[in-house]
Amino acid sequence: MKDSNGDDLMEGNQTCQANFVSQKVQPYVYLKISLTIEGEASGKLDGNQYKFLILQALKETLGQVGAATPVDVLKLFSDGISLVRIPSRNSDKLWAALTLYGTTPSGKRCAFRVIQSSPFLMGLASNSRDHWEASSS
Amino acid sequence: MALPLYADLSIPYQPAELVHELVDFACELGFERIAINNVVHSLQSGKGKKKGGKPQSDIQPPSQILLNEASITALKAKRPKFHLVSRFTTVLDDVSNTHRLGSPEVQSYDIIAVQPTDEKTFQLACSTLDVDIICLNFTEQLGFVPKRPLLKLAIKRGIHFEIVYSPALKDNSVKRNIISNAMSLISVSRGKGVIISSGAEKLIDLRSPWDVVNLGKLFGLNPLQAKDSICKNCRAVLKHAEARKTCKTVVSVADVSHLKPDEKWILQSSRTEAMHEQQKQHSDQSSEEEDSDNDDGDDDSDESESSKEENESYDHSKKKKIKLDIS
Repeated sequence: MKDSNGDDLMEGNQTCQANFVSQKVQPYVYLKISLTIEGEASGKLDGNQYKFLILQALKETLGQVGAATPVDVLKLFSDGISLVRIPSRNSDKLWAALTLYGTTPSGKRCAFRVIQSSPFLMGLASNSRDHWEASSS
Repeated sequence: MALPLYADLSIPYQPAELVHELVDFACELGFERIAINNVVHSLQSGKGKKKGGKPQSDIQPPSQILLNEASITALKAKRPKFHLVSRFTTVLDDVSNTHRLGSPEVQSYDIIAVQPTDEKTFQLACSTLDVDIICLNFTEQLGFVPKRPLLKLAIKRGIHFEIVYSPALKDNSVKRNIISNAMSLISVSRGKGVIISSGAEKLIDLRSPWDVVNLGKLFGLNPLQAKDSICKNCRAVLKHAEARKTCKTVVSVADVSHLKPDEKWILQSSRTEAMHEQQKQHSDQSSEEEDSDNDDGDDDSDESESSKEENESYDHSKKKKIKLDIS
């Protein structure tokens, strides 16, 4: 970790900014996912069902080996949005497996859409895009 | 630095409410350049109708396909940079009837795409046809191998190759085909000149831009190319399409009445320039300007040059303006 403008921090202003640039490869990738199921309120799903759908998605595209990777649902919000932690080693493939999942086992169309991703859980706290739009308008 | 504009250049044409719903949702997900795609399966059908005495207007004009003004302004309120274009796609199964691509009905579309079905048509599309996008049917086995020299030629001419991902969400065997075909295309073209678009007919088929970028990584693009496939390359397609309608695209001529409100400044600046020029000529009659053919300067120098050029070539009449475009 490197603090690029550490000197500014010491001046005691009320508003001070610090940039942290991490060169390390982080062990996990955190994703903020929204699940939409056609003709059904995805908010009704409980944690187990949500996890089951994620595992189904992995199994469908990556097979049993893919489904063996540890995926954690850290938090499930009421509207089908969740925070998920996946290992960063083959996060590309896991993410793509989620993207390409289109049909639930009961034959309904569904979609996992990744809203945000970050190597740090803190990174999901705010969205830089929203910030940009708010400040530019 | 401005944030990148994400583009989805293939939303199939459907009844207006459905398209509006789709475009609205795509906007919500973060796409800001959207093309509505009119797929015409055969160019030949006009001939048969001619015999029956009917006019051959089987291709709808783009104004029918696009959304109406009210909904566009509503979307623009949500996303100021929202941009909607029309796109025409046809299936090329015969080399002979490609001349209809040059007809005014087709040329009135913003983007023109073709879908070659065999090696011959693919070669034709890559080497000679004046199109912007080549989309291959990845849902089945291609039946031919895209060769590197042809791809290189197409990329050199500014043509992009499209990968449509939404069929992959419906069926597992189709998913396999799309992934393998896309990977082979990308390995041959080394990731250059590829765009990824949805082709979504329903809301549920749309994915967010970050999903699409990651999908590009799965297909074998490197992270930067994956991002370019929905940002930079799509912009290049639009610019290429614009350039197709002009001749050599450093300078294009347009009528003053067609100027957009945000381009009025060109006229304004050229007027003041003209006034200065006139005063100069009054004071010093003998002075003559040499004009230089330097076209590769940055924006500012080009603009001043354009206004000079305008003064000279149109003799202060200001009926036309010269619009610059660096493709």
